[in-house]
Amino acid sequence: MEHTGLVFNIQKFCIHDGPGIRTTVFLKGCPLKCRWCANPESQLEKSQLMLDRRKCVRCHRCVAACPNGGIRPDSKTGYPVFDRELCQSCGSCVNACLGNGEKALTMEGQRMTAGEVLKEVLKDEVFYKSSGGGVTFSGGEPLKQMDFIKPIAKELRKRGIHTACETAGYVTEEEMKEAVSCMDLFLFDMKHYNGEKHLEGTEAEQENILNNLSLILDSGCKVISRIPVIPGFNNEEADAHGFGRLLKSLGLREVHLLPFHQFGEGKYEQLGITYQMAGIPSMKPEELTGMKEIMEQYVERVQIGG
Amino acid sequence: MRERIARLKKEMLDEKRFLSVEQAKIIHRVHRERREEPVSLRRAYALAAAFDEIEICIKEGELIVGNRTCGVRSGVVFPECGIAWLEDELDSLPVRSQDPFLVRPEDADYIKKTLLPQWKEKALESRIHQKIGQEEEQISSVVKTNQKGRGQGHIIPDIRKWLEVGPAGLLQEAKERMKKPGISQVQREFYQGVTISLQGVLRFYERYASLADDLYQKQVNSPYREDFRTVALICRELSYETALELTEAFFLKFNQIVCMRSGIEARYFAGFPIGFNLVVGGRNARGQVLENKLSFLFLEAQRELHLPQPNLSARLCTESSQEFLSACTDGIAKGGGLPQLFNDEGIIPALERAGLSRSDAADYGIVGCVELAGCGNMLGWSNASMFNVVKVLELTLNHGSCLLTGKQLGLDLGGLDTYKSFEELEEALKKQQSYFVKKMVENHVVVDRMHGTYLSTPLLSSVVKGCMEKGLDVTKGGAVYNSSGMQFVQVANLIDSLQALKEMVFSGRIEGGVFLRQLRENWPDEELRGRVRGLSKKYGNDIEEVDTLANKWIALFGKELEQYRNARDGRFHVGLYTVSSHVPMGENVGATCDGRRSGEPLADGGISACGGCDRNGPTAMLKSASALDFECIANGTLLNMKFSPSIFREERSRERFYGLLRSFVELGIQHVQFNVVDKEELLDAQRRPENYGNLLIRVAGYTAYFTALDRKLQNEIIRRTECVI
Repeated sequence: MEHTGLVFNIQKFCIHDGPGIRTTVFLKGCPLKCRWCANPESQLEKSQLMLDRRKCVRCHRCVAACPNGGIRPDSKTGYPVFDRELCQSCGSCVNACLGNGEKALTMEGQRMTAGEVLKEVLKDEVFYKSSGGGVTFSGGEPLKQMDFIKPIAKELRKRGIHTACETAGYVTEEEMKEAVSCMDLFLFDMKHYNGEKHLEGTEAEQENILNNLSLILDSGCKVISRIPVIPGFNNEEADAHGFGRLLKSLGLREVHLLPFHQFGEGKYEQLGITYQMAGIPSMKPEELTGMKEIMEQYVERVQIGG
Repeated sequence: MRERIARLKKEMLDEKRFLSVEQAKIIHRVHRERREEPVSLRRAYALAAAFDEIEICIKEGELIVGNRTCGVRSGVVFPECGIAWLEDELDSLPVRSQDPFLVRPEDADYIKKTLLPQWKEKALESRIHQKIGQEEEQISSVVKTNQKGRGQGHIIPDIRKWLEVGPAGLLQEAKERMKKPGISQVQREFYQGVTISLQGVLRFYERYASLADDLYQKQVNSPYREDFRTVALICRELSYETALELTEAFFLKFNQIVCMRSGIEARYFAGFPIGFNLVVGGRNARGQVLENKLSFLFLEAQRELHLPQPNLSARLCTESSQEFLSACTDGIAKGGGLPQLFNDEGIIPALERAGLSRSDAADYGIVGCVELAGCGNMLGWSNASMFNVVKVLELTLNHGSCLLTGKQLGLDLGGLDTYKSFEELEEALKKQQSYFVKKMVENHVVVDRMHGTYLSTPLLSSVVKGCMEKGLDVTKGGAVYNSSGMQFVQVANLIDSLQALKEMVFSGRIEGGVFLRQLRENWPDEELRGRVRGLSKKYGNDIEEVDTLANKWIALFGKELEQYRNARDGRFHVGLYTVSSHVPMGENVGATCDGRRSGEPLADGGISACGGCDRNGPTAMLKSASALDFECIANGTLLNMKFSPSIFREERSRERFYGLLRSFVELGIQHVQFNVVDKEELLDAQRRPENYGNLLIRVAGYTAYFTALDRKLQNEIIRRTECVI
């Protein structure tokens, strides 16, 4: 339980990440680079500063507080600008931040030991038991921190608590085997059915992912496939057929279609990174009905939303 | 809902509300005519005369008849209780923002010329004021002593007995008991009073019966003509639909009788709730689950009618059926917070510990808003006083002097600038608390005793176990159980403040004197205030250290009360609820250590977190609440939770909600109620109230129309943390 991991959120009462009432542990660091990513703060495997301009009163206390001189006010807008190379994630600027009552600066990602996480997630044990819920590891790519989550998941299982992980499957075979040994459910993200398109959208090869998926299915673990439906990438009728054929050939029986949304947009700005999907409207659940109907020809259960 | 109920509901809501002096005139006359008689008999005669004389009517299609006035929802004036407020407010009553009542000019005249001059000094309220007015004034910012200007209510009559033997049977019992040799003067008077009242009741029944006969003869063309004759038949052979209709007619009745309050009281109890309580579900002492067709009928009637009264409660227990949970959830999903949920696992042990027998504890019901009471055997005087512990902390930090006025209100035991350690502060707070508890108890005892002297209730006493046997009015201690409820207000603010002091001042980060200046000057240092508000250790987040501290202070308050007995030789019970008084009580409190500014509302509910401070979702809030030692809390608690309507739309998320309810039961939390409404919808209702006339909202232990609430209360409800998914 001394292994540490980089956690950016432990969210309670999650009801879309597996059965029952759950606590979801979000881990930082992801090997994929999806341009629609809704959790950009999850991508890097290090702590990151976020600035919410709506709360910033431009008091520049953070500028003075940074021991590395990594913050300066923008000459035009007055908002602080960060030299992220210089940032040591010490948190001095966050402490100094005044905000409009709520802090404008936050540090995303903190090192926690497996024991600390276990203690936190066990607080809701009564709710897991009464609802058939449990704990979900998400990210980022949680399976990239297997040493950290394995002891937690094992201990949870020992207590009869359901474990799940949300993974994109882009990990080593070793890591996936470890995961299979301690997870009851895999929420397996699938971005595309076509290898080239997959590489284009995520900068990652699909072959390794599909091998890992087969590995899970062969082990007999339960898998629910999740497809983020992205306009212009995988939302056509042909895509529905493509996904359907792939899922059927793999023997997957349940899939969730997740409509593209823009909840992550503000976070790109706060992190100071460019967002390639800016301005593209969110999809409404009912826009996915057509896809759902097509995919039902191939897969037993198709659900819109998690 | 049938056309009949829909029409009756509409008529009821459309009818203008008037103040009524009809009964006041009768009371005034009888008390004059019988001024030689003892007060208790005068009251019995006045009630009987009202039964004989008040105008009665039966509206077309009405299935359940009877009211205090012909007009529905009238504000009945009772001069012997307290009418001083009318002197100042008579003119503003029709136009005030909270709960207005229209006043007929002749009635205004009567109040000004007759009632006020004759009754102002004699009313219970004035008598209490003459006796303890000064003491009250002195502690008013900490203690609010209640029930000074009205009958105190909060009691469940022995309905079983009333249904079994009826008023005629009770009358016979009283007469027999009066004949027994060796009864005292007090007992004789009591039985006389009961006799007079019950005879009045019988005549009242007869008046309605003849009126119904009359209407049957006259209303030859009414489509509802047969109702007058067929009610008896319906009662014998109820189908589900007719039973539902009858239940709904019954529920409508609860909304026709309201309580007119003074302007200030209307702010504390906004939406004129009179608190008719109905309870379904639960488990009896033999371990049987109490769910039957009627339970489901009541839940359905509430859902269909969607009115603020009755205050419908559901008792949950480990054995509650899934069907019952689902029916409750259907009601909750409609918004309006009904049914509110109580938990046998948390309540029955508390009542047993408070002295109720096993079967009486298992048979508990709800009075007022969320207060617990035995059925037909207990005067719990539930809403005796509100104890503002946040103000007590203020005085303890500021040398006993009020931050708002500078007046010396409490003991000077030091201040934040002198206390050397957290323990020293806690010691001082304990002393200060003890000082005010003593005064609060003394004042309540006077009020309680005065009710016994001036506000006897013979009719009610005839249906409360113990009174007939002892020959003693319920206000004098006739009931089997005789407690008084003292409310500890508000645990969240107290604990967040103490925790902030621990982390900021007593850890050496900031000097006590500097912090005190922030309080005195209402947080001029925005940065420091931001730091305090941003502290993570706050009540409502499932943090053991914080929740333990909360428990400790509730227990200390209970312990303090344990040494006293009330005027009816009963014990004091701790309550953790505020009704809606967290808003006006907050106005009494200067800036607090949790970053709250002077005058802002205190936390809502009773055991809810401070608005917006429960950042870890509903499970963490429930865990924090469950850390409280409910066995020591016998008067009732209140937990508000707000959910977005989306959770109830799909069965798969509804299932999670059932899980939450099952956990609520397992955790032993006594009470929870839900508002199901989007924040956006509430904001829109503020902007365009005309579109939201029937938006029901759970305020505290009661439900009211959102647009009819005071703006401050509206804002506070919007600020409560919403659980979104």
